[in-house]
Amino acid sequence: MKEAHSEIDIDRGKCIVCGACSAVCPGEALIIEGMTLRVYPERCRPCGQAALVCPTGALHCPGEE
Amino acid sequence: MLDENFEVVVIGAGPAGSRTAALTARAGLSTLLLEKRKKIGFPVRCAEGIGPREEVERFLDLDDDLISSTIDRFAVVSPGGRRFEAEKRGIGFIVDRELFDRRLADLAAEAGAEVRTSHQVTGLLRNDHRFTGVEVTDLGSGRSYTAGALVTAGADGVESISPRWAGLKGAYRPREVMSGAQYLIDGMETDDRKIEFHLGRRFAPGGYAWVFPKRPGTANVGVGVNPEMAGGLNAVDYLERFIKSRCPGAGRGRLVVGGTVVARGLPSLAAGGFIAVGEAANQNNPFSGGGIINALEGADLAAETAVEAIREGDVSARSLGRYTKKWKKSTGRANELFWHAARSFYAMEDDEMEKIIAKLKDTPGLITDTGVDPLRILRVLVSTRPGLVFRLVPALVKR
Ligand SMILES: Cc1cc2nc3c(=O)[nH]c(=O)nc-3n(C[C@H](O)[C@H](O)[C@H](O)COP(=O)(O)OP(=O)(O)OC[C@H]3O[C@@H](n4cnc5c(N)ncnc54)[C@H](O)[C@@H]3O)c2cc1C
Ligand code: SF4
Repeated sequence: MKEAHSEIDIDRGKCIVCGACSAVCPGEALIIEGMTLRVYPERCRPCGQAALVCPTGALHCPGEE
Repeated sequence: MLDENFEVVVIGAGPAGSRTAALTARAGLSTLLLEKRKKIGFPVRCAEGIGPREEVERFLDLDDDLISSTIDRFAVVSPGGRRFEAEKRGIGFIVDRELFDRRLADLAAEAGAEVRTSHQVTGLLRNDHRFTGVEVTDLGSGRSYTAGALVTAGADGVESISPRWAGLKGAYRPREVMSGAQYLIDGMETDDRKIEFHLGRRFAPGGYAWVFPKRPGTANVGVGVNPEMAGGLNAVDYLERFIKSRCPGAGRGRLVVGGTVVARGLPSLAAGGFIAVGEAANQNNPFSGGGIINALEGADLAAETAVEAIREGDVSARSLGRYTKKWKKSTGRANELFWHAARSFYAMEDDEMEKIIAKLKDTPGLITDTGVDPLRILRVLVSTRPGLVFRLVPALVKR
């Protein structure tokens, strides 16, 4: 359904900065700082898990199925 | 050297953090409450449903300005469209969550806690024995500083990285976070005293869709799904589907999205010098995802223990561990049952769920004064899945 991604890709128009992805990302690669979602690509494992949880479909991660 | 020193530092000014800070400050402890958002309570990430007045008022006065509507009825709609309706006056309220959170933070400030917004905690400090405070960035000025504490309370909600830093938990699996989306819908047909829950794979695989009325014709209409059961769609996709069926053509206001922790309780809520509270501590009800009242309950136990431990001069993991015990004896116990119930119930195919709902409908005592009785749900689940009883034995006999 989703295309393969080689790095964390956020559609800023869709992201509402809810932090759901942050709760799931094991590497702490996705961190809510103040009112923005900050990405630390070097910490990405990659596991693809966080993208599943995103309620808006704003997030794509490497390793996603 | 530390820039500042407090007896208690609280991370996050949601219900859990504000209540914890209010109680430690009221007990005379110097307390710092740190919130990374600019404005407490904003943006709202909640359907705003809360229990009956007696329950809420253990923590704060439910003043009229906090209440959007009073709930006397609820409906559960099965996957096949069958309705199970019940009536219980004042079973709950839909609140103004932004005001609600601000009121709680004001109570903390009035009790003497120092409240700082736009201040983000970026790490925990520690010595050889325990956690000793926090590293903070003032997002306004960009300045970083340290604040020492005898007890640090991690009440940082769904993201809750502080309990991870403290070694109390890891990252969540996707299925442990219910993925939610909701619109404030205008001009729809509703009974403004009734909440609705809609079950089944079409609208909410592994969760439910809801209608929580705010005023006549206006409601929070949302869905929460298990991301591992969502088949490549996201919560907003399911919300669109639900709205198309439940209230097509109605007007849309603000979109709320967010994750809610529906994970099993943590084995331990405390480390040396550190306690986790609220959603950060997996204190949400794992069946409903509801976490406001549970966060306040967790805060009462956490603050009580922190105050005792500081007075005794012992903030070791063992001393603060009394908080874990208290939680497991109270709401933690119900949550364990809800977790088992949720695991079986939401995994069901629609036809099996249909049967269960029909049985639940005829279960006396299912609805209690404060919500639903997890044991009654489990009894019905066990009647169709006898194997479940073996998994439940430890939860029922322990403690
Ligand atoms: C769509 C949706 C609908 C919901 N509906 C309901 C409902 O109807 N009823 C109900 O009871 N519950 C509901 N919930 C759950 C409920 O909102 C939460 O369980 C509740 O807010 C938990 O309170 P808390 O104080 O633990 O955390 P939060 O309210 O999340 O507070 C945590 C605070 O910590 C701050 N923070 C995080 N990290 C840091 C940091 N590093 N430094 C400083 N501050 C930080 C955050 O900005 C936040 O303000 C819903 C959740 C969602 C997503
Ligand atoms: S889960 Fe999605 S909407 Fe929420 S912060 Fe992450 S990318 Fe943004």
